[in-house]
Amino acid sequence: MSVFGPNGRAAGADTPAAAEAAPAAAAPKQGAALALMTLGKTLVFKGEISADEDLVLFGRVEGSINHTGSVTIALGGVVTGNVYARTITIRGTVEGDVEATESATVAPSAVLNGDIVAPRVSIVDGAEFNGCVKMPPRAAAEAKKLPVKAPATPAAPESKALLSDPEAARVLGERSEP
Amino acid sequence: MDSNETPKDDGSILGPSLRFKGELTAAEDLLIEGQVVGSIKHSRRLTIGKNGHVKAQIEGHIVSIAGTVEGDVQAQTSVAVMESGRLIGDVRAPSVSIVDGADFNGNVIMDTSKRGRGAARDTDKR
Repeated sequence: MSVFGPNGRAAGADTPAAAEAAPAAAAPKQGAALALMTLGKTLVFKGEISADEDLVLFGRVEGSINHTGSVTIALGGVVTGNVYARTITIRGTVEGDVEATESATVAPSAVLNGDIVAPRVSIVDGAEFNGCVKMPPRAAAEAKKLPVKAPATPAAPESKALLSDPEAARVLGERSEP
Repeated sequence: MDSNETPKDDGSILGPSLRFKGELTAAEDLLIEGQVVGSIKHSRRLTIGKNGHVKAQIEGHIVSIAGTVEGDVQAQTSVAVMESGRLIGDVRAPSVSIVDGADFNGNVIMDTSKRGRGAARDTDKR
């Protein structure tokens, strides 16, 4: 995903982004599940967010983010709470722990006070980071991803088997919410 | 794709996969296609899209409902319930419109003194 462009580009007015957003707003069909979601800078969430669509956060979140895709905390974005996602990029401020099943990137403009758990971690020179890094073995990370990939299967016997795994139970439990 | 990281002045979209529990405040146009449980405080145009499902007290300026809302809606300017909209709760606004085909159960409280000249004065101030 090119969201991780190395140049931590400062936010300026850019018409292509606005033009892309317009049709998305007009026709938010099922295909929009892969769309990129932008949470603007005036947005303040107090509570728990979960989502599957790639997320770019310019606003403020006080609470936790449970995500199955890629989360970017953009320059100006502030998160006070834990972030769980597949890939996490931090350019703003995070006060809390960050857990990625695939990779975590801390950009030069970022301020992170908390721990990082991810199989692949990059902290770019210039970033402010206070916390510890834990890298689980990649095989374990792959196994962790499996239950996330098969949430839609309604087959009950298999999901029972998966429920013996507490991590799978957590994921499936969240997924079964209406 | 870096351009996608530009904040849009025309507001934010909360996509269909988003689920949020808690308190949401915003001062930009907002389209909700996901699920929100809790409360929403908003100072501009708020649209609950067709896929949107909101179980919350809503305070806004201009509120337009094309999805499902369970909870009371209070707006400083207007509330519109679209044809695909479903609203269970009370509405308090100086101007309320309910399109034929909409599903609405609740009270409407219109403070018409804020409408017309009052509303015009409000916009003049800006």
